[in-house]
Amino acid sequence: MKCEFPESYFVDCLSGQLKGKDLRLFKKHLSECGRCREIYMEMKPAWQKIASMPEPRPAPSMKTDFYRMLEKEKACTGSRMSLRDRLNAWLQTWWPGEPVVQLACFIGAVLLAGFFVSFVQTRSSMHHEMSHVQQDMQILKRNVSMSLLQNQAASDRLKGIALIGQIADPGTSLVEELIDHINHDPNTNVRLAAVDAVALYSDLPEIRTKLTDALNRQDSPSVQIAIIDILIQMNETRSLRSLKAFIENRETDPIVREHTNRRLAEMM
Amino acid sequence: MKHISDHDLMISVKDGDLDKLGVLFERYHQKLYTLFLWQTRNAIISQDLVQEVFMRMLKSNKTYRGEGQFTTWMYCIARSVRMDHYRKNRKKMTSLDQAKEIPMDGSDPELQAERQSEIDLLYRAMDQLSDEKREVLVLSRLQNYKYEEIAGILGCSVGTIKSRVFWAIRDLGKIVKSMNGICHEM
Repeated sequence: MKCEFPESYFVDCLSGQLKGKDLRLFKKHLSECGRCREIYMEMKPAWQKIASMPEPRPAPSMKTDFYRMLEKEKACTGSRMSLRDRLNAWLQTWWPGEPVVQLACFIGAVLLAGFFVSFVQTRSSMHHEMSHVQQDMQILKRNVSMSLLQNQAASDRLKGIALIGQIADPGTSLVEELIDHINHDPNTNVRLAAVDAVALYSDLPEIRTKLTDALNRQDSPSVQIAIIDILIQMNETRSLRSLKAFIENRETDPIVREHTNRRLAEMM
Repeated sequence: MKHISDHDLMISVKDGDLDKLGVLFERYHQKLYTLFLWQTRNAIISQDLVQEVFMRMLKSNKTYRGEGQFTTWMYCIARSVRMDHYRKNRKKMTSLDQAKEIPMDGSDPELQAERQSEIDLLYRAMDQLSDEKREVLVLSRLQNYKYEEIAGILGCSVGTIKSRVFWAIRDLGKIVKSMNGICHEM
């Protein structure tokens, strides 16, 4: 174009972007310049027609295809994601976006951690204290039972033996004390209670020998029968040999012998 | 409902929330389809190209930095998709084969026929324009993008865009005029 107005004036005028003085000058030029007017008039219908064209609509299948593709891609992406990515994605769904909420969560987490540490420490300390108390209780029970066993009254000695039964780990000294009472206590009931108490520790290796010795020392058939029952339960060859020797002894009470024979026969 | 910007949606897609691509699809599939239809004259090919644009947006989402406008990035992908399509199908390119799929309103059959005739004429005229000219016309007149935005999409100055629009409209006007003359002579 040889006129002073550049191409953009035509475009701006058609699109309504030319305003004020520029518009007035351009319109004046169009009224004076036949060539520019011809160009403008040629452009104007095309400009208007093209804008009034209806928008073409895609087939509905386009959306369906797109969402199918998206679902497929999501499935592929999900399976391709590493454990770290998946963990990140999961955390992102939980982690709040606003800084204020993030700060609140952080403070909450710190308080919770503090509470947890304090709780664990208290619990550990309580557990420690409980363990001490339990140990003290055992020592107390042991002392009391020892004291009761030394008592003159048979009822007190029976209480002492009952108390030993409540001690988790009586120790060798208390077991020795019980054996001593089986062998030497004047009261049959106390001796029987001592035999029952010793039966609780029959897995100790020295108990078999000591009970076998105690059996030969006993004059009470009921105590002998109680000891024999324990020895048979132990089911040891040496115990059985001792029992056979015991029943062959002429001084053995016939009732005890018969009981022993019957128990041995049951065991065989 | 709060409006989420294109940029934020694309960032979400980039971060793995692929559902957000659906929102972008709802916003832009129509515009892309119109653009491709004007360029390819084939509804099925245009639909496939739109699909391809969104597929590439997914595949290359890591390259999205959000420095410019989202539409600029999207149309750059669209151009690349179209160019690839042309390269692959150079020999098969046809024109005006499926340009009549535009909905018509109004119930007067005569008016409808007249309108359809105008549209056909315009399509034939547009078909004679170069790709560059047709592209700026679609973006500026049919999709109402500002010249600054088109300049961003096509990677040139606003002055160049205005010049292209001028020559495109001028050529179109001439073609329409000559076609009308032929029609009237007939």
